[in-house]
Amino acid sequence: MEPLNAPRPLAVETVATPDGPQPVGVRWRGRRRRVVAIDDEWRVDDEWWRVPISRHYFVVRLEGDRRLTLFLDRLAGTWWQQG
Amino acid sequence: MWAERVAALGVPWFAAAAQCRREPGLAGRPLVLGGPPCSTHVGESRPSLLAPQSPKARGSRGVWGVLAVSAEAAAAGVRVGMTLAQAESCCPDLVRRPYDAVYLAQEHERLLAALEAHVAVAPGALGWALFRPPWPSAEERRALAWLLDALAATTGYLAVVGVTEGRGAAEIVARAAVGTRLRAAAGRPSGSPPPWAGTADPLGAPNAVAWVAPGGAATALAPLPAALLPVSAAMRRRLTLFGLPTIGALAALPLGAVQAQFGPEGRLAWLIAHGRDPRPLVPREPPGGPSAAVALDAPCAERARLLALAEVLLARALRAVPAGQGVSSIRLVAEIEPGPGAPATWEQRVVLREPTAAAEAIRFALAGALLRATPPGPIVGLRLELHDLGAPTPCQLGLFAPRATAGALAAAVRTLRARYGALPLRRVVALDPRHRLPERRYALVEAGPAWSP
Repeated sequence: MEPLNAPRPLAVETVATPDGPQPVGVRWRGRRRRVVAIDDEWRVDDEWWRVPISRHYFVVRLEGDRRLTLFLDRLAGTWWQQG
Repeated sequence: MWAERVAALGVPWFAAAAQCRREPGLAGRPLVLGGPPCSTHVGESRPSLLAPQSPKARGSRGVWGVLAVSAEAAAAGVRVGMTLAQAESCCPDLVRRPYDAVYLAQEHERLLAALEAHVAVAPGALGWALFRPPWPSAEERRALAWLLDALAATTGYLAVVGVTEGRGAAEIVARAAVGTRLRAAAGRPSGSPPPWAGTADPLGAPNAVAWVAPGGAATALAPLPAALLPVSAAMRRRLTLFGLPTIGALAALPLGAVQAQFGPEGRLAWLIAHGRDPRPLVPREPPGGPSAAVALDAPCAERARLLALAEVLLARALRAVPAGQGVSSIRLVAEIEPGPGAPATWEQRVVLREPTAAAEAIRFALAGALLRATPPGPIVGLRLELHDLGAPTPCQLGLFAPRATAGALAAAVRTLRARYGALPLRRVVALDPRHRLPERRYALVEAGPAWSP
């Protein structure tokens, strides 16, 4: 069985804010693209009783009007693309 | 009641003889054909007692193994199944060549086709064939001698033929003639003379006719070793342990006792020994489907170009398929650029799930086959043959026509299932569509053998 929509690692440039790091640019399909807007964001904290999961999701709009869903794994400090 | 008269015709040391046809300079030299044990040989015949050089043995421990020998190598003591080192220790002047199963299958087919110009044949092991002599008994020996001469003129092969009652007995008689020839080549005494020695010496002439008079099968077989019977190795070993060295010794026992000891194969051996082989001889349908071939100016190693060539040949061959007929199997034979240790031909067979004349469906199957296997080297020639022509399977239309996409998907699923056995498809299943983590909502699972869209 293979899960659909599994996260893929993503190179993200961030800027520090009081709410934590926020994406300002990503390297997507071999090119650096600037984040022009953050359309949405939310937190997912789950499975604290097993292997804890803590993610900060962002729906960003890249230059060229491309939307991307990405998240920060708050426990590992890594960025992933999903969807 | 005697069995029908059958002739077993074979070319002794066929694989080596075929290689000598390819390289005439090898004639008369001790030759072995073989390869590493991991090499696969497409289209090779199943092992049979009729083929002392048949590829039933492989070298052990990953070393080069002898799969076929020439008469000269056999006379020097080289045997099938030896490693190269063992073979060279028997015969230091040994010449070795790779065992090209595709080329040998082509030569076997050429031999059968040449025989079919005169009689209806049933294929035997590599280099061997069986047929019913259509001539009166009084003319049989002369006609068979003529047939061997005609075969030698057509194909270049010197054959041996044994004729008596039943296919098993005919094979034994022919094989005994080959064995006597081997002993003669080795310069050893051939023991008791064969039963036909009083009338004709089958080994005196280049082409040997081992002819047994009608009703004389049991008498002819009696002095021959029981090891020539077409039985399993276990039964052969038990025959030795029981002290039954000859076929006649087995034939002298009551059928019930033999059957009680050896079961069905013992019964068959006993019937063969009495010239009452019950197995019928069924001649084959002569092949001859449409084909197309191309010779390349320069060697080609690209898979894409190979596929393009195959498609061109397919289109050309399909033009010769009669209207209303479909193709069930395709054979693609590539001639490989000569190289050290590599077979010079490569073959790929594609079997379709049902007869079809649709070029697109055949091309799809052909492309799949070429993706799974590619020639071992650059090709310099390609031939495509269409086999098993028949009426295409009719498709019953449903009362309510399904959507076009569902029909196309169902056809694709049937094709994949027919080609791979298992279905290499996966389907989407919902695990927990409302889960907070997106990767936990849906998954891909194997479609399963019974799945249909």
